[in-house]
Amino acid sequence: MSRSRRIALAAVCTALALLLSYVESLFPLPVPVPGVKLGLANTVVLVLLLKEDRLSAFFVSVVRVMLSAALFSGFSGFLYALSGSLVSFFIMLSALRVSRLGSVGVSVLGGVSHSLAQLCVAVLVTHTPQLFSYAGVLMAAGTASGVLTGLIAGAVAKLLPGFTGMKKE
Amino acid sequence: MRKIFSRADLWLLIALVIVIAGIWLLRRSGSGQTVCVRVDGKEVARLALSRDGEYPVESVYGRNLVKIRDGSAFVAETDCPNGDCLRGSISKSGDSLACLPHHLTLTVEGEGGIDAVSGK
Repeated sequence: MSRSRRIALAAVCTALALLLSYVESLFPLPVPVPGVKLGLANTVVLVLLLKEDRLSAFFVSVVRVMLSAALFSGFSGFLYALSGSLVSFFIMLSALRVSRLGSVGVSVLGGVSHSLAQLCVAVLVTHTPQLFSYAGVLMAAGTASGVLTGLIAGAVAKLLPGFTGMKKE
Repeated sequence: MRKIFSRADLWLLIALVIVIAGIWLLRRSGSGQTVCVRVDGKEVARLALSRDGEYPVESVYGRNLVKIRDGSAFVAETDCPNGDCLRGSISKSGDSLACLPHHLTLTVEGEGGIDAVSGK
């Protein structure tokens, strides 16, 4: 894949991830717990990882969060979003390298680590360790959304045979 | 091509369900008596859950209106940008609710649980 094509692809993927997170923010889940969401933007990152385009996956993880903060949510949520996004990226990257997990398992690890990373930042920012009582609920939510996004990403990755990431044509 | 769901995924899910169930069982579910309101981890108010009422909380970060009704505490109004804290209410001992942009947390305390153990 040529350099310019790859840059264009990463940009399109970032736009798609941004769009997914925006659409998701328009329809809050009917769950009485703040911070629980589907994490559909993660499907884009996971598809890129499954296609072994790690650099683009990293780019999408970081730039999506920055754009989302600049366009919609402002700086206040930025640290949370970035920590969750980065931690889940590296956990999923490692899981793909060292384990034989399928896309669902990788995505579940990503979802759970995303939640726990944000919880840790929340505890640090508010200086309130009592917030750790959220851990169980957030882990359950991360698992559920991880299964969903893992199924979607796995199916999409299979349906995109020509999308070869870093490999040369 | 990597599988969508493998045997390893099944084991991972089973392990997670066990951990989550464990956390859920360990969490005491006794109804609490007071709500501790903290900003930056420092207690700014302690409210009885048994009495309905409204309590404005102002800090350098912004303003929230904490309400207590029928033994549950929740944030009724806020001037934070995302308003995540408006979702959810707490009543059980150990439950927490947070308005992260304002560094504000509500924690139900009393009757069993971690607080009783630590004697706090």
